[in-house]
Amino acid sequence: MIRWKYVVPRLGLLTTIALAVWFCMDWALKITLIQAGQLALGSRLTVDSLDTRLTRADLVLEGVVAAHPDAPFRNLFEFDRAVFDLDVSAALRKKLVVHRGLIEGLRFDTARGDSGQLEASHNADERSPTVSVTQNFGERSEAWFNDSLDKLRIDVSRDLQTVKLANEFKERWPRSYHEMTARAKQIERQGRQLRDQLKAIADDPLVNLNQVQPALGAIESLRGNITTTHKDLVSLELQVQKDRRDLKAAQEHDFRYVKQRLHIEALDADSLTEYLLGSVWSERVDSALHWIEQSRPATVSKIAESPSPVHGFDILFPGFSASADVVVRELKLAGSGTVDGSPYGFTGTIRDLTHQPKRHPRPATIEIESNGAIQMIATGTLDRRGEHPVDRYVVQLPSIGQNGQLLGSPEKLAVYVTPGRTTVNAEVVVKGEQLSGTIRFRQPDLRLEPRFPDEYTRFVSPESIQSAVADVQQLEGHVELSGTLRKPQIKVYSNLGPQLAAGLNRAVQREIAVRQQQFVNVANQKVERELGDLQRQLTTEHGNILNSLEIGGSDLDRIKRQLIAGLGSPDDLIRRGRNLFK
Amino acid sequence: MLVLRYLQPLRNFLRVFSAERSPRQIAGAVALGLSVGLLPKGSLLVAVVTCVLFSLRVNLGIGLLVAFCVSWLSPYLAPLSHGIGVRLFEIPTVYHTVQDLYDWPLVPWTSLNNTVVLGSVCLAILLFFPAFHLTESALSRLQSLARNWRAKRREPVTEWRNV
Repeated sequence: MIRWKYVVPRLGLLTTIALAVWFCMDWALKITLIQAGQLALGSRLTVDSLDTRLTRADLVLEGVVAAHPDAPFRNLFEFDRAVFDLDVSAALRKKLVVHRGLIEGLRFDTARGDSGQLEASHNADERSPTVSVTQNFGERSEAWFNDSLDKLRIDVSRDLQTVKLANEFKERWPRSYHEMTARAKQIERQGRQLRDQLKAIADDPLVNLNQVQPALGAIESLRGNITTTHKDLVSLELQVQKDRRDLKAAQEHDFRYVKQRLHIEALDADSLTEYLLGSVWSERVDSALHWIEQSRPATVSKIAESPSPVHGFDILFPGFSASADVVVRELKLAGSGTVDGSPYGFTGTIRDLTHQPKRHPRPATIEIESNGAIQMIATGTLDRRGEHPVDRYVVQLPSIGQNGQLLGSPEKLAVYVTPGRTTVNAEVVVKGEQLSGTIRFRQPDLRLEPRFPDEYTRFVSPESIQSAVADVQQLEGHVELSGTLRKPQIKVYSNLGPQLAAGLNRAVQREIAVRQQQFVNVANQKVERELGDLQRQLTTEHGNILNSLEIGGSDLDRIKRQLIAGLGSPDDLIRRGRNLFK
Repeated sequence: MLVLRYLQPLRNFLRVFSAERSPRQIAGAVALGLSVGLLPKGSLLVAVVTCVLFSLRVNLGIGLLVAFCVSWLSPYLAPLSHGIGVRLFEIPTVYHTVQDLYDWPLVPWTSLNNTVVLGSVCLAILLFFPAFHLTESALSRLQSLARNWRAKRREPVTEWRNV
């Protein structure tokens, strides 16, 4: 006989516990899901409702919103409803296997009213630095533009040696000739004084007898001065010849100097491509890699699979494969979004998603197909089975609307690309942290309009650049990815760079050559003018000096002889003396 | 009095935790509580043993109290359990038995393939009867001592009811 007094209270207690578990399970699962999600994302996660229907072995989630960890007022994703059909037989063997799942109303990067940051925001500090392509794109191109502008603006006429020499001659030669002229005048004056003295001696030799000897000395002194001056004049002529040679040498030097100072290396086509397209593509690559990086922690198990004495070892029996505890075999996605205000919708399928990929025979795969503003087919394979995770993504955008865009910097050189449709095919592989891949793009039926700052157009005609890109009817190229996921490197190749670089090189080199010739002409004109002046000065002054120095050595000998002859014989002198005493 | 009548079901419910007061019932509760406390809580075995605790006529209050206290100590005993589990798995009979059991539905929920779980099960079994007998004998001795003490003081003694 059943002792109801004993059984009923115990049955009641067990029923109470069972009901409590039944009704609290959803709440407990919801709390657990929110906590685990917030821990994984590092931002707020909200779930409107979670309903486990044990009779139908499914789980229904509604109103799930995950805030963006880096943008407090943006959502990373949100969805309206998700249904997961669970595998009961797997559940009896302690495995949570989702046969089929469906997420509806999935949206990415939506706005939110309140901040999605967690109150304990220390996670933000611990978060790894975000992906960023940190290259300085087009650094060489910018340097080239600055250099070319400097070269075009530069005035080297002050640095020309010919100009310096000419200025020096202009100062030195008049001074030298002035000194020489002064000396010639002095000699001329001395000559006149000597003549007067000789005349006086000749007129009255006895009275001026004592003047004879000094006169003879003065004659010798004058002779010496004249000789010295003649020698200096010859030296001056030699100096003039040397200065002419120096001027010619300076002219040659200036020619080389102008060539060197105004020399500009040809603009590298690859560098120009990077300058124009690097920043555009780095933003896109940053964005794509950010998503890849975000998806990585979610697909890599954080549960330590290595045994420890505290948790024990899980013995794997022969015949029992070490299958993952949680597996999503197939998860259908359906969602929508907007890009530049235009709506798009997408559907997708995720297969073999598990948090213990090493225990699962197949890698996780994802297929996304979108329509509307973005037409895209994307497939991804997330293989976490090996030592290093390997992700491979293939994305095809057959026709994506491209607004008119200004490539480059309007302060240097920019190219406006008219609106059109672009085809993009990308393949990205991430092995461990190593990144590799290629993105190919092509925009047909476009027109390019180069744009320069006004300062540049003073030197380089826009028409010459426009003509360089007139033949570019389509923009095509590819981006090569390398480096690591955290420090990606990209190299951009395109048909735009080479053609624009060729046009720019032609225009700038032509302008530089013109300016070089202008400076050389300035130097030549200066030299010719100065040499002409010098020649004229030399001719004039030299003649004057020579005229002043017309008293030659023979003249002085003749004067000396006349002086001695003018004095007469000793008898004549005695006779002249007696006449004085009469 | 009307209020007390309404509280009667609650009183009956609370009596579940303190009704069984014989040394044997208390000893059974201690042994089962010890088992519940020792077993890792992620295992289905805990639910099974807890159901047994609720099903038998043992002192539920003492049983749950012991389970709660031992649960606090169980992490410190995990290395010991792990060592026992490793040695048990080295015995082919145990290994093959667990392997065969593991093929059955629900058995994986017991996590018997884990060294700590198997060691804890072994430890619980080993400690069950010593705990039961020691508690029972200690309580019987205490009961007789209390009876003698009360007899000396000529006071009415509430007799322990034997199962």
